[in-house]
Amino acid sequence: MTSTCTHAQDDWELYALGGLDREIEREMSAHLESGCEECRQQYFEVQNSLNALGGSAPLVKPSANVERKLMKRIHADLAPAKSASPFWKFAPWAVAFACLIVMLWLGRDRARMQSELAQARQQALRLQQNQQSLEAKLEAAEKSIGQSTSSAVSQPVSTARDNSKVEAELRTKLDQVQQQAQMAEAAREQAQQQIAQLQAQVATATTRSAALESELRSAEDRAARTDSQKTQVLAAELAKSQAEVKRLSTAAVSATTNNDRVQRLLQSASLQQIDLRSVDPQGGHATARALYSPQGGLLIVADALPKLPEQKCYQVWLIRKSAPAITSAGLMTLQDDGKGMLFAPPSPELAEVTALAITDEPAGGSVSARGKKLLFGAQ
Amino acid sequence: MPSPEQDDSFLLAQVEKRDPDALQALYRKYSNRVFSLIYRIVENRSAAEELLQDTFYRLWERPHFYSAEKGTLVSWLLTVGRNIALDHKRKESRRAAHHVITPGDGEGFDIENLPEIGALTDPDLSRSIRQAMESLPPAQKSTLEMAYFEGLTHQELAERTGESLGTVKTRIRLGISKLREALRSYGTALLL
Repeated sequence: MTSTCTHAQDDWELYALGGLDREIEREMSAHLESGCEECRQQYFEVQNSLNALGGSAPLVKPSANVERKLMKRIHADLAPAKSASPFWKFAPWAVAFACLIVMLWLGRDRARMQSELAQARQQALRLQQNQQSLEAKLEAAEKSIGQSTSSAVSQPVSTARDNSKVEAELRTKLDQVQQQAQMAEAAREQAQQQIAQLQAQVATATTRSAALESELRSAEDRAARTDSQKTQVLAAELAKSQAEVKRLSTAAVSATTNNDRVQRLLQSASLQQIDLRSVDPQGGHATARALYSPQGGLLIVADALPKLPEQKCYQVWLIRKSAPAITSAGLMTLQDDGKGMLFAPPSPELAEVTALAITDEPAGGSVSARGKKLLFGAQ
Repeated sequence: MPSPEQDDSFLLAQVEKRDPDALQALYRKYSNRVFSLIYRIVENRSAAEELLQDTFYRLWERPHFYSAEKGTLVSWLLTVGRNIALDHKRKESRRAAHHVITPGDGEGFDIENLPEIGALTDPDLSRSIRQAMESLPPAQKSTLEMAYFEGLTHQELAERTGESLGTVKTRIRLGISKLREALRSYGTALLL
């Protein structure tokens, strides 16, 4: 059949596997979405072949727990309030309560500042009123001085009853007026001083008021920021707690199942043992012992394993009489103290094992053994 | 009698209507196959079980992401499961340096559900696939397996195998092509 599409010769195999240049990948995706039947057909065939490759993986059944957990998760989606555990049911309320406390605390701080500001404003108002009152008094005193002086000057002298008596009276009155004028002058000076003091107090109160307003604005900003930060911290702590609960649950399940596995292995009829020792200087003084049977699986425990670089891992290989002659048993987990352990599930491939080897492979392991053989042991 | 695809279409439509029973039915139908692939990639039972749950939860959350025009549902599930597993594996590799491993943390299996090696639901299909894989030249087979199960890029494959980029790409193309031919010659109607 002759192709009519210019994309028909494209690398649909490489596209389906992933790993092509992103630009090319986008172009090919766009072409598929455009509806080219010929290329779609090619792509599906490739995809089916790859899925067949996926189907070549040995069948392993998930535990029944997975289905239970999945359905629980789904039912929780449909009715979240019903399925939440008591702790997690109340966790959001706890977070909300904590936020409320923070907000109340911040609100109280804000109210205190607002009260102080109102008091400062009232004080400034009172001082202004006092100033106005004193200014009025001062004006009245000045007026009084003027009146007294003019009154004294315009006193009639035409009566000539007794010149000396009049003169004495006038002198007395003049003295009185002068005294009143001095008192008024003193009062005026005192009033001016009070006004100056009041003006200084008003200026201080105004400054204080401005400072309080600025502080209030800062406090409001801080409150907004703190509120958000507190919420974030609480959310992070909540997530951390959830992760810890999950990790502990997994560890508990793992510990229980490990014990069961060892019992099953030790009780199996055709249990065999191989001791491994270091066969390379890189392996140091490491040793290992493997117990295995087709029905019970493989348990291998190693000691004094040197620490590997980050990009390497230990991988255990079965060496068999028949094909596959060399096959991976899995990756060995390693502790800080150099002890390593691997459980592998029961497998017919354990029936014809003649030897075991441990190699160093790239992190994540290899499909076929390519690393250095560090430990080896045969029957 | 409805075909498997018709069954899937019906169940998927029910999932879109938020019917948990429909999702459970799809889970029971395809979980073993998807789980086997995920387990083969991550080689850790507890992680694989979490990822299997995530795969089906994704179907529950976004059923509209699947389109029948893109292939069968199981094919889509295998693709999603593979992508999720490879992502997990890459993240694990990145943080491996900071992870203190304890015995039993890695290779786990549940004593109640012992793995059944070499026993796909359809034994003929299983045999055909294995024979097809065995028929590939070793270099093609290992390159293809590393690309598919380990998710290595072409550049990483070239570095791992010590071959040129061109050789790696050719091996993948030929490998898949031969796998397709081999499966056809075995007369296997893929149930995918």
